[in-house]
Amino acid sequence: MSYRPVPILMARDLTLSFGTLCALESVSLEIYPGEVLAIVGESGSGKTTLLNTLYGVLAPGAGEVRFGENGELDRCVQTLPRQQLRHLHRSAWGYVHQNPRDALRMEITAGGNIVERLMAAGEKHYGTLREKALFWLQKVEIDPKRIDDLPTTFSGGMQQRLQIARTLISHPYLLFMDEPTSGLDVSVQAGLLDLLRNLVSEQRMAVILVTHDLAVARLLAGRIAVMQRGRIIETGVTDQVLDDPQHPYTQLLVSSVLPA
Amino acid sequence: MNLLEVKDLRKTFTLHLRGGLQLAVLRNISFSVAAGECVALVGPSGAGKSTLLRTIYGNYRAESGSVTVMHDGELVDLTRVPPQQLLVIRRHSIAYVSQFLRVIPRVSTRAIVASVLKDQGVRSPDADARAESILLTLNLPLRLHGLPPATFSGGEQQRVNLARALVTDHPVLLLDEPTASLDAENAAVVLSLIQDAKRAGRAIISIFHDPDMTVRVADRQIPITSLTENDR
Repeated sequence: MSYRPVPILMARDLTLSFGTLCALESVSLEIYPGEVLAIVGESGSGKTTLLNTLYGVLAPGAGEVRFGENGELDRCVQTLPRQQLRHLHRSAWGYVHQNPRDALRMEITAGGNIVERLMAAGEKHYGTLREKALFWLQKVEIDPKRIDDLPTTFSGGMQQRLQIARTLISHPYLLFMDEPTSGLDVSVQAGLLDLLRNLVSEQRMAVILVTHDLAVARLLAGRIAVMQRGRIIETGVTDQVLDDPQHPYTQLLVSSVLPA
Repeated sequence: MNLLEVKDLRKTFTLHLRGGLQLAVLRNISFSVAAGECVALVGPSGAGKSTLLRTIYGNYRAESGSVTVMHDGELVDLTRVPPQQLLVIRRHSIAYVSQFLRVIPRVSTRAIVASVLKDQGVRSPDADARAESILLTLNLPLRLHGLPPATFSGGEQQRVNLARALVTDHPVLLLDEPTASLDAENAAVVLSLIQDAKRAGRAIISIFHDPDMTVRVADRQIPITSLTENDR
């Protein structure tokens, strides 16, 4: 049959050591347009290290990450000139940090934070920027009246939503997320999961989601990869891996959480 | 024309946390289901009926054997396709109704049902209208459509689950006790929807908790027996 999905990012045999500690060992994966890939595993298993290596802010000791938008994996994260990588990080890719303060600029207003990527891309018209900022504030359920307030006056959950709005405004085709919902109230978390699900379904955005929350992985991710000690030990369709885990470690992980 | 063929399906669970204990559940399961046909899996509780349904859907991984499904005009073995393709086949060709509703909290019932269509590429007003229509058919009144199903009764949640599978035209439908939490009136609605699905040429495999239901809607019964020591 003609079905031949083309990945937009592919990692091959990533290996990375911190001193004697092996943080990543021969990790390979692909990510396809319009899907969420969850990376799960306990603390210290290498989830965030893998995410940062895929994103290009950590250099692997061996292996490479290739990517491309037009059905060809014609570019390599590791050999891309710094300038181009920075441009990629500001436009076509997005990264949502676990702690919003790592991403937000706390000294400028919420509205200013949201439109920063658009301004970097050359948008100068005040009315347009203001309109987009208001649109995205509503999309992440922040009261538009707070547009001129500093993020320091926001709660942690609001800061997280602000970070997500500021990242999504440039319509990235690939989103990297590191425990994005772990600090949020459950009600806010649900709103964000729904927003992400719709963006993935309607805009074919791809998401690599690092999480320790198997319930979040189940609701959002089509595929899942389980990490232990720097290696991917099991991967597959999310419900398959969670309901019929094959690897002893995955069976332990799944049986250790309260049913969700 | 067969829309689904199961051949020599075998499934054993290995419990690594129990010292590698092997649980044999399915052995030598073979049958096929044609377009317009409803087959019922029958057998004692614990015999593996639900496990079979889940293994067909790919929720459980088959140990050996094949599950061939008509997808996009071709027969595809679900036990051998890569995960991305299994997800596409589920989106378009094989639907499964479990006994439990698992959805993102706070999302309205209408949106939950419409999302199945949207994932197939159906646009918003059309998808919402079709979602409302199937929900109304299943006796879920309009005033509930804007609410998330979290606070619904068990029977209402089960009907939301059914709506998700019946709103589309997936050629193969797997139903795990679709009327278990329903009163007689709603069970009758589900029964007539299954008849409609048969007339539309869909292939249905179902487990019914009610033997009467099996007799009324199933064209054939497939006995699933508990394995004895000799089978393992």
